[in-house]
Amino acid sequence: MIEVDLQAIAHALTRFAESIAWFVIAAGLFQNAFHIWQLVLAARALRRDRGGPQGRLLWRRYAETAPPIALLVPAYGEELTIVESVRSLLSLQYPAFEVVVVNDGSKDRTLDALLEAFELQPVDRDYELIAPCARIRGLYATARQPKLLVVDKENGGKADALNAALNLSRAPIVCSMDADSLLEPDALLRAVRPFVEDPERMVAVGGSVRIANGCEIRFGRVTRIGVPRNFLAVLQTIEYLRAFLMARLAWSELQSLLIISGAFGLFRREPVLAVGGYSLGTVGEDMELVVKLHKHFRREKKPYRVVFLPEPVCWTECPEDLGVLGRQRARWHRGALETFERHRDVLFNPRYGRVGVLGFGYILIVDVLGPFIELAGYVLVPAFYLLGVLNAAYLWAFLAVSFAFGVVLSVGALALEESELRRFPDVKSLVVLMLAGIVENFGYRQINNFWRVRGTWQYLTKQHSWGTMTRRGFTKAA
Amino acid sequence: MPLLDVIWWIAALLVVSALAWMSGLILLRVVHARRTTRRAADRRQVEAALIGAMQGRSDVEAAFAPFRGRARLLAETLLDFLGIVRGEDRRLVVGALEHLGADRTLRERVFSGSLPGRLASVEALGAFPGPETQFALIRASTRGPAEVRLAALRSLWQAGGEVDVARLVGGLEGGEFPPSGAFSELLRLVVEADPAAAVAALEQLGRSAPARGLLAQALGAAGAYGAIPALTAQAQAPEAPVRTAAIEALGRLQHPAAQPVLARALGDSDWQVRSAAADAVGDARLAGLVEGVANLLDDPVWRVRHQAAAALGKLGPAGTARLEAVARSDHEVARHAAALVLAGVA
Repeated sequence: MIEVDLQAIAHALTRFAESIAWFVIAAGLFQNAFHIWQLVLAARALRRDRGGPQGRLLWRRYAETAPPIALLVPAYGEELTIVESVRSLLSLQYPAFEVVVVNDGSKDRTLDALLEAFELQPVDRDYELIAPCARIRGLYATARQPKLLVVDKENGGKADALNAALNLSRAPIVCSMDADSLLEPDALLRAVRPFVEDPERMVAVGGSVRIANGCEIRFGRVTRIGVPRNFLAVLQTIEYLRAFLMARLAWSELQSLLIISGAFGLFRREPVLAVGGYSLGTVGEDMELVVKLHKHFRREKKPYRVVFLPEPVCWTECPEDLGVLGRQRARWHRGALETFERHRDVLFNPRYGRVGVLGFGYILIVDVLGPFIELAGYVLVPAFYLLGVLNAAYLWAFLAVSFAFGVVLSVGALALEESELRRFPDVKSLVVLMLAGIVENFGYRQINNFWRVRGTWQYLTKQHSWGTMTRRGFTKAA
Repeated sequence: MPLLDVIWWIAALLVVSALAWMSGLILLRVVHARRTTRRAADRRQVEAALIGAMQGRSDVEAAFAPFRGRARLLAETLLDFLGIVRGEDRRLVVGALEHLGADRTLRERVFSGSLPGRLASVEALGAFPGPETQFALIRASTRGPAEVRLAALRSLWQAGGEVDVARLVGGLEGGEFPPSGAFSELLRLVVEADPAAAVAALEQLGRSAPARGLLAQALGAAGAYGAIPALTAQAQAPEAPVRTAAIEALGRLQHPAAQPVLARALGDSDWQVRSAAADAVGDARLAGLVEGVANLLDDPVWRVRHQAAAALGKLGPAGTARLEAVARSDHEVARHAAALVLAGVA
């Protein structure tokens, strides 16, 4: 008969719980310290670049030397908004650019809307299929609007459509974007600055993406910035500030920026083609492309730069419904995991320098292991509490510190925005956003973690769907 | 203090600090809103004063008086204004500002204050020719961030000062200036005024590849025919980017003397050189190189095939005849490239 030494089991359990507790405390402290460091780096970068040129001064400084840009606009099922979006793009303030709209086999009248609005005719254009894409059915243009080229192709997804546009474009710089993104009139001129200042090394530039919900939109332009009325959208406004103004800017400062949003990013065309364009069969094609570029240049031992700029701004509509938002976030997480898996050789590989250690190390801890640690916490904390091995007083105290760090980061990102960019219109908006920066730590952050776990599950079970994004359409000005 | 209390205090301190930071900024916003409105009003007043100066009004001095020490405001408004004013009107405005001592304000601002203000002041000084301005700009071109130094040289150039090719190229090779678009543009202006100096710099032994590439580009853009021998030599440089720049420059010059070197470049091992050579042959209408260009119609690189087909289209009857022959041939790749040009699809 086996004798059960209950005291020994209790002791072992306590030691195990203590180890877990110390691990959680250490990991939490490390993560928060890293994010505070990012906040400091972002503040330093914003302060360094404050007071940049605007309006005609911007044009005076950069227009003469700005290289031509091709805007790559994939469109699927955009019948209602595509014409206004393209009109808005065609009126951007930039010396030389073309707009390559790709109708990615839409089932609605997206193509017809374009053909009718711009009186386009079938044309031919010499091009080479370097980046893989589905069959191109036709090209359309008109002498009346020489900046516009419309590509009609079979459906293949966003990356496929971007590849088609990439093959057909001729400008040395390409700008990837979404058909429903709204670029500020001077966004291209601002974003091209690094390519003008460092033409030899600059490979990719990411711009800020901001939430357009609550803004006033006229003719495809944001004419008045506002705070969304929908609670979920307000929380996302803070989240975007933290992601772009803090995290991406800091990663850029650390020369380890791994993601440039598919909604607005500029790339030198030749290296993008050299790495085979966008990879098909992934939902994280934007991140994947940046990682491929890092690998390419580091393998070739060529100097290069990938940077993020906070000021060229692209506005986008965010989901106002939990279901849609959850699907979007699970997909983003799946994209990060797919990229990590495809390029796992980069992790801690000295050949890839900071990208391998810092960038991929962060993905490993936060994106790959994070959801599992989170999940373990949800199971172990109640279990330990029930077993009586958890000191509830300390648990609450550490939770308070964790929430406090969350508040510092969210409110800190808003403070950076206000002290250096000052785009929100009034005091009321700032107060609402500051409150959102506090509130989002209680519930929203935890739901986000749940979506990440769901994304991990979808990744593990090989679910590849994009999910549907139900758009409300931009609020029109009265 | 017990550890538990310390942890709670840390949490409270973090939240209070963040909220205090943001609350402070919210209070500042109230002040800033007034300041923004005031700045916009000031700018409108300076613009009105500049229009007054252009019209020769007598109250200009009084209109400018409140803004005499506001260098950045003056500089930015002036740069905007001068962007749309030319000739006699421009001379009147600059004369009036000089009379009021605005150039002195700008000169003082060049060496102190925020970077955007310094940069705008340096740029605006380009409108004020004179020894004092030139002296300030020469000083500014030797200190501070690279963008200020480069802007100072550009303004010095605009103000009639001397900026020579050797100074720019030396600065580039010494790491003083980055090979930026602004640098290339200034080099182009300086080379245009003194192509002989640029040729001498290009021919100097030990010159770096980036410098030779930029000099070749600038000579081509300047239309310096005297540079053809130097560019011909660079078209055989060991570095492909230099060869490409030299061939592009020869293409811009469109001179028949470049025919032998272009003929060689059509068979270069680097595709960018071959592409540039095909383009240059087309632009210079060198019908004698029809065969060499036609051979590129089945080049493994699409860009070269595309340029070769387009070049043949520019080479008159000989080129068209060659395109028609290729379009009838059984070589699929070349046939496609030729057919598109014949159909008018570039």
